[in-house]
Amino acid sequence: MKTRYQGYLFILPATILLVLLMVYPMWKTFTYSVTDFKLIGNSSTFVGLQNFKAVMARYDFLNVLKNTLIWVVVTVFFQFALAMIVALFLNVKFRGRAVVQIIALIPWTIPSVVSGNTWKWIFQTDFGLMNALLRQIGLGEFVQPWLSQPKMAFFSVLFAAIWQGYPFLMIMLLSGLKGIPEDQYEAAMIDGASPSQRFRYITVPNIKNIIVIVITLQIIYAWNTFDIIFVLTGGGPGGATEILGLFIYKLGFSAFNFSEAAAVSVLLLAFVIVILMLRNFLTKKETGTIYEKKKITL
Amino acid sequence: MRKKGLRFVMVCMIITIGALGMLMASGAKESVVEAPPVTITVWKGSWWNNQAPVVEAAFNATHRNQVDIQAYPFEGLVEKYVVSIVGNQAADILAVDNNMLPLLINEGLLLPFENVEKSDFSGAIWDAASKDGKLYGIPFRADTSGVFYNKDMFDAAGVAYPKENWTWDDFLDIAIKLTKGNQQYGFGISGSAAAATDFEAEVLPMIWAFGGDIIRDNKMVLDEQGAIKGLQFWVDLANKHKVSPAGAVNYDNKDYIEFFLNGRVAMMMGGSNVIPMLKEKAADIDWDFAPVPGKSKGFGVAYAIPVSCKNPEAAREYIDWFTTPEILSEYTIRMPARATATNNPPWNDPMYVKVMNAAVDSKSPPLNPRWVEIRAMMIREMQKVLTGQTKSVEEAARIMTQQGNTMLGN
Repeated sequence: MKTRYQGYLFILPATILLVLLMVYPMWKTFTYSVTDFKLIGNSSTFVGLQNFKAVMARYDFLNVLKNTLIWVVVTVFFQFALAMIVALFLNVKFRGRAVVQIIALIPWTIPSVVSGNTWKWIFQTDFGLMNALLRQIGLGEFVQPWLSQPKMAFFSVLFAAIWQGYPFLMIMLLSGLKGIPEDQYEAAMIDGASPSQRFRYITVPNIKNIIVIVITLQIIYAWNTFDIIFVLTGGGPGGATEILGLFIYKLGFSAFNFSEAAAVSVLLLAFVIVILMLRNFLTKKETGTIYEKKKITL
Repeated sequence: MRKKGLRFVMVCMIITIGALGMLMASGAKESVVEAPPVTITVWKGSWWNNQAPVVEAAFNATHRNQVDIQAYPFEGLVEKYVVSIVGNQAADILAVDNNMLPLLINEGLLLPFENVEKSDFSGAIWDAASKDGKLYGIPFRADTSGVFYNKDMFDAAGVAYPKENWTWDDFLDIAIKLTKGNQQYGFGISGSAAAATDFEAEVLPMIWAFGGDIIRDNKMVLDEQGAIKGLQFWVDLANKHKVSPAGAVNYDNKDYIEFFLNGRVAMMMGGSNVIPMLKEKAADIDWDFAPVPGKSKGFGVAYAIPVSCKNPEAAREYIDWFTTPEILSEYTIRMPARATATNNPPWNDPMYVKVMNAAVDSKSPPLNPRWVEIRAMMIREMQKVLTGQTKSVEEAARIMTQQGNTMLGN
């Protein structure tokens, strides 16, 4: 009993922090979403689901939702694919590997606002670096209005976001790859397994949990993306690059409609919870086994 | 005789005791009134970073109360203000521009000022700070947007400089003559969603020049012919006449300053804040300023006291000090909001005088608390016209009017 009581004491500081920094803001967001919140005097009246209905009736909501879904799927897919390729490459021993690893990490270390501005200068239609380079090497026919045409702008912002986000996944996957015992590969090679078979039957199963975790985190991050889009296009042209993160910001701080902004945030939170539940389901088997094996008790 | 002397002594004693009592009472009263000095905080835009210590030193040396000026980036400033006021964490004084003012006033987040004379304060920003006969901000900056032009490029193309009473047709004619393929443009339109004030500085004067308006009696009037013509003129600069760079839908004033310095655009919009920058960076360019044809967009900044202010009297003391003409003239780094503060250097520089003269006839953007939201919507819809997503300006005007009216609660 004493041991159990002491255990709770150990987790008390973390619990207090969690309640203050996560539970309370989430609770406030939820209460704003179902009330007609007024800034003056912090007053509010319960309105049920009215804010949710109002948000969905907004002229641009469906477009924003569509953009967000494409954004999440494409960024996460390409970030993961690129991260896996680079991680596999960096898992091979070669001279100068440490230097390449540092270079590969650079996009992640640059603040979003700085990288956003850099990409803005690169993608600038008229006198930008990309178009100037294309003209200089004789590929003038490939010159594009990178940020000035809706579809092209979406592609350009996606590219910048993939570039910026892949190193996080890469470093996580690389740490997983380094933990795979070498003898498993040696045994497979003796058995005549091809590189793709080794990847499929040894690499992937060994880092499955890490894959699930990084993809989950990256999906959540992609849903919340704001800064790089804000700097590159501000959501334009014509809302072509506007996703939920920016939409919430505009609702809150252009329209000062905190209740509707909170309603969208709650929808976003609901999606994140679904993703987390999915992650728990996918990793349940392994977690359960460890739990049972070690018989962890408080 | 002895009795008389005794009476004299008693009267003297009574007077002395009375005087002592009064002195003590007044002393006691003074000790109640004399509150301990406080340090008031002021939040302003980041461009005040270098000047803040100078202003602080000047105020602190002459006052019991002290001031601490903190500068923050303009992006996100209004969010910071609102969240801080609601959370009782805001500074005692906030520098609020003409677009933020109606919004904060409407939300009941600012305290009204008593006993302030209109005097020589600039009209546009004074109006933005007023509601229902009450004043919620004391202006310290007044400005307007006009056309900065590269005289060297005009000379090279053999084009006459803008005349004082030029029209938008003259402007277009000049812009066409100064455009050379995709290497040099006559003018640059600001279509970026990230810099809404640059968009309004161009579009509003064009709408007004064609007899249109945006909001009238709390109703959108963008679908009226005057407004449509103004919007069409703006779109045509890029899409029809191609006097503006191809990427204009994503450009703002910051981009055009670079293009201007590199000789890529001959004319760009800007306020008085562009003057010191051009004086420093464009020393090898012969440049000048011309007011926009017709009415320009007036803008400015006022000092406001949030409802969460802990030291409103001390805050008022600082604001009154800073907005005194002599102090304002000496310590402000943007064009002063008082005519009498513009008699001294650098404000009597001919270039500043030109901007000031243009500001006299300027007009304020809609003084409506929903304007910031409506403006964001307008940019999005006009971007759709620029990129061909919406077929015509008429259709965009109809959509904007409909959406704007919803925002206005109509």
